[in-house]
Amino acid sequence: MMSMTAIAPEAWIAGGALFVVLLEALRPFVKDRVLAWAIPASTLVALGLAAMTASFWRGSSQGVFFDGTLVVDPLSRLLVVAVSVVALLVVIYSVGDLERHDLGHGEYYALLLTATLGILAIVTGADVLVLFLGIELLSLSLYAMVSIDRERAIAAEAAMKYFFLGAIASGILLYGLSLLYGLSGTLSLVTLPRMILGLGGGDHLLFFFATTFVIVALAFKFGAAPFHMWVPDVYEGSPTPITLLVATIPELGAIALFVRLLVVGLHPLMSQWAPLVLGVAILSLLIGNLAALAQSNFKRLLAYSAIAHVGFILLGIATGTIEGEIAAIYYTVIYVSMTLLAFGLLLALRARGRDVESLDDLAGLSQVHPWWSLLMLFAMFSLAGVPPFIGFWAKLAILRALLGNGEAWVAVLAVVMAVVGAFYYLRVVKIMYFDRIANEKSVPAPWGVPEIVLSVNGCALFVLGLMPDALWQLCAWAVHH
Amino acid sequence: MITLNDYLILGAILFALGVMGLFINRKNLVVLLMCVELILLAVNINFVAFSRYLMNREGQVFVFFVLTVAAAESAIGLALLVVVFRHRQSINVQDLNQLKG
Repeated sequence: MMSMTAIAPEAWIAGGALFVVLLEALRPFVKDRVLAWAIPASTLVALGLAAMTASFWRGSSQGVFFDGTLVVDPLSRLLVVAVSVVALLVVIYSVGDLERHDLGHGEYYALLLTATLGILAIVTGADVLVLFLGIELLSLSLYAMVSIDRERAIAAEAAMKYFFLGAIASGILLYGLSLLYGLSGTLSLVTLPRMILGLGGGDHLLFFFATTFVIVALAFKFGAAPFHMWVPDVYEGSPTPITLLVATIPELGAIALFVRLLVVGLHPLMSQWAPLVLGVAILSLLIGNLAALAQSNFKRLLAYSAIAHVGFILLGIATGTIEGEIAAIYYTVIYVSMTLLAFGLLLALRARGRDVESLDDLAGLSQVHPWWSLLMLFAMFSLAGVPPFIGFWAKLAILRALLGNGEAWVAVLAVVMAVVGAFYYLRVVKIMYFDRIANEKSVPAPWGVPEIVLSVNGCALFVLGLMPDALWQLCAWAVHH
Repeated sequence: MITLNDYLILGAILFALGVMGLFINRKNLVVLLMCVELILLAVNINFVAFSRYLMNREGQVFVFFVLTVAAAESAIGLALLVVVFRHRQSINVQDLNQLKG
């Protein structure tokens, strides 16, 4: 019975996915209007129940469940709540846009729930097999979602590229895992470190191969350079509600993967993976920031900025210290909230007749939509790391972890790259506020729940920036226990 | 006598063939799908060989899951292939070139 409480959030999500598919199957018999309301509602209920059970009910059941395959600890609780809440916000922001473009059928919601379920499996998995299945469930759902708009030719192309690069990454990951299994004789992440220590690091070369394979695959999945080719294409190619999803929830799964597999599972091999992760992080910072300077498409710009932010997150992992780990999780949670805002605003603007594709589409935004451009300014300042926005504290935490580990030159490089990054974020602000266009009529759209949530999200970046300690304490609590 | 090493070498060769196929092949998306399958099956050989060598059944269980995932992956891959073909009337890899920058 204890075990069933432990997987309550996952059970809600899986049940929700099945229920949505069932509702969709009723389409010939039920009015479309009813389904258009019932399907998003049941998705929201499933996600809300998952977040609630993870935050309250699960408190009493800590430990390892199902024969050592699932672990319920503060980290998994924090991330399960974060993933469910982010998925909830994604649904709230996208529901109107999907409806208008006739994509709001059951398959979107079912795939969103299975993708969320995959991340929950990654977050709570204590076994390599569960992690692998979680990754696959997430990836397969995302491939299908990217191409959900079948009329969009570039979406099909983006999905195809995403699919093949993701499939290679899965193959490489599996190969690395098979070597790890052969060397250590276990698939459990709890016993893996002990087994590696027991071997005394005798087979160093094969272990080195195995960790290299694993890191290459994780970098692929996270969208870190030099394995980032799919990121800009997928961001630009997919419809904006899907980009919103691809840009936010998987990042939380990826950080969990790095922490569980590298920081915890392969802890004895840190001297081998830390330099590799550091290399990937520095490359991501350089490529992400420099390539973003040259972009004229807004979604593509955000894609390269995502690569740069992943570089920052991996810098925290590469230190190998507890502080670095906390900083990486802290940064990820903050980054996801900023990205949610940026893409949520694109959707809100689309509802008001302003379809932002290239940067020039933002020109004169402040004249027509002063409130939305103010929120976009919040998102850009926060992404750039301007104090007092919360994005500044995220960068500061990573820099502190680097300096605490004596890696001053990396910290200097990171600061320089952050300055380069500030250039293109501020250019967006400049276009919104100082580039004028001839008189434009805005399509009036009523305020609803999404607009209110979006505004709260934007203001939260500012308010949290005034008291950054609360979130930091939460992340520290998740890692320390 | 076939040793563990022989199996691992076979697995490594198949894996390398799959990866090379993915990068060298510029003509046909179906061949890419076959290469992906080859990679996953190479991994399966590794798992089964290790499982037998270690006298530990977990590896064989893993293989069943990998096979299932491989089947799901090709299903999605073929579905995407159909979508791409409808737009381009071609499954040539080099025709996937609209997105750049």
